[in-house]
Amino acid sequence: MKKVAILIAVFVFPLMAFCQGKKFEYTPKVKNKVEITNLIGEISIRNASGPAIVIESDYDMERPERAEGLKLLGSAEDNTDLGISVTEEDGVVKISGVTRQVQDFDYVISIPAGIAVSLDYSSPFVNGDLDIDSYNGSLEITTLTANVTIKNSTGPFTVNSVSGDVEVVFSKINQDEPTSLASVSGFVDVTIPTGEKANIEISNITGNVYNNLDLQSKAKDKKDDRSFGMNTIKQNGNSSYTLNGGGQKLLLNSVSGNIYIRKK
Amino acid sequence: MKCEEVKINLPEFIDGKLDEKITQLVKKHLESCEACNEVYTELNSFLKFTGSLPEIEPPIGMKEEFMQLTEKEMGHSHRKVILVPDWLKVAAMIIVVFGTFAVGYFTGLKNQGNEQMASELNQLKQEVLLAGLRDYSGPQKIEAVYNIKNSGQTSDQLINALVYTMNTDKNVNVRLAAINALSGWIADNEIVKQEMIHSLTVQENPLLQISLIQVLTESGVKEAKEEIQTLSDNENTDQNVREFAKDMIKTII
Repeated sequence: MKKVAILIAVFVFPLMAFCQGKKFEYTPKVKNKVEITNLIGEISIRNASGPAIVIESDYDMERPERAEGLKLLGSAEDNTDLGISVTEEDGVVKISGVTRQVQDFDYVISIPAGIAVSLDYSSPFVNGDLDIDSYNGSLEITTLTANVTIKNSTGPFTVNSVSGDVEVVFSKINQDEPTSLASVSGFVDVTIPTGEKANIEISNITGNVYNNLDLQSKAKDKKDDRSFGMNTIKQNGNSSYTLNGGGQKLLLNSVSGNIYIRKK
Repeated sequence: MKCEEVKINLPEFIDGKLDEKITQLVKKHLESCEACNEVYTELNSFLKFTGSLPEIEPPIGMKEEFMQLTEKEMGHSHRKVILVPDWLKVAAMIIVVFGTFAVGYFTGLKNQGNEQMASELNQLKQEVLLAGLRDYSGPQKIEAVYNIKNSGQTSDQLINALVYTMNTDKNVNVRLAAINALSGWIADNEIVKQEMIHSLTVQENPLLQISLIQVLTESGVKEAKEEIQTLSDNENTDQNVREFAKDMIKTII
């Protein structure tokens, strides 16, 4: 009985709390771009089913009584009741956290198809990592220390991190636009389903590259007599490979982290 | 042939000005690619309206600071880049091509018209390439950078656009792509060489600093020694970069 109570406390209550979370919808005038900045809470991005951007959150910050009738100084207006401001200008919808307290809350942002998202998660006050599941669309991410995990998605992505790890499991590689993943000291790990085509360009300095795909080197082997009959193994530097005959570009870049390229 | 290449070649394809090999490639692509076929159909029908169509205006809100900047840097004015959706850009090319052709045809100066058309088309091709670096998403801009890299064109305007992208783009991944593209010209283009050396003093991201050091040292650019040394000596520089700079500087003799 006690166990059940604990289970309820651990799983059901937070779920209920989340279900009771608030929701904000905004339909962009121009279907073009969304920029998310200063939103340092936990963020998850999904595909929306309709034309509106839907933001759901468990945001619940109490304003001090003394703040009655006052506005937060130096920040955008919270026009969503979720601790964030949503504005649209020049075809760009800006979603921005208005107070540092948003770091204690979770945000689920659903983006309609055909809108490119850029997410600046590089604030040093960011709380947690980025997890993106089953997202099909254009996504730009910048982080400082946060790890980025993208699962079951197509891209195209640009991910850049200083010390965070970048992990992407493709469900399919978007062939219209390239994907570029880069980290300074974190690892870069990509999983590619069988049969997907790509041109993979790898750049690394001190880390190693591990792979179990059948990659064809694009560089022409300059073989001398001594290396006759042997395969070339390139330890570092920039190298280009084709996968299944070549396709859209997949650019992988790390300075001191390892790069992993694996089959699904 | 990729979609981007097909789209860029479509005006000439419709005009029948492509050589046979490329014509076949475009044809083959159109048969298999629904998206490009749609653009092609749209273009064809668009052509019928060219006579009555007013000049295409950029949509409200599209910023133009990039081109203004290049204009300033170049010291003379350029034709305004038309910032419109992909298919409209191509359509804009058609108008000029068709217009020029009509002038040439009706005045009986066919050869002259063709020459003019070729140069107009070339200019427009560049503008389409440049427009790709504007208000688009990171992945689209990387694609645009690679399109410039693979286009075989090396005008000052394109190089300036890449340098500007390398030094100012918000997206580090796009800057990386620009460094990669520019590195192809570093051996024979003095401006590119100087700009890449200068960029060492601009970049703050360790990935970009390391990429620049790598390109400059591997290309044996001796003039970069001082800048690399400065970066290596600076205590605020990322440790990875400092170590890499220290090692690579040894290769500059």
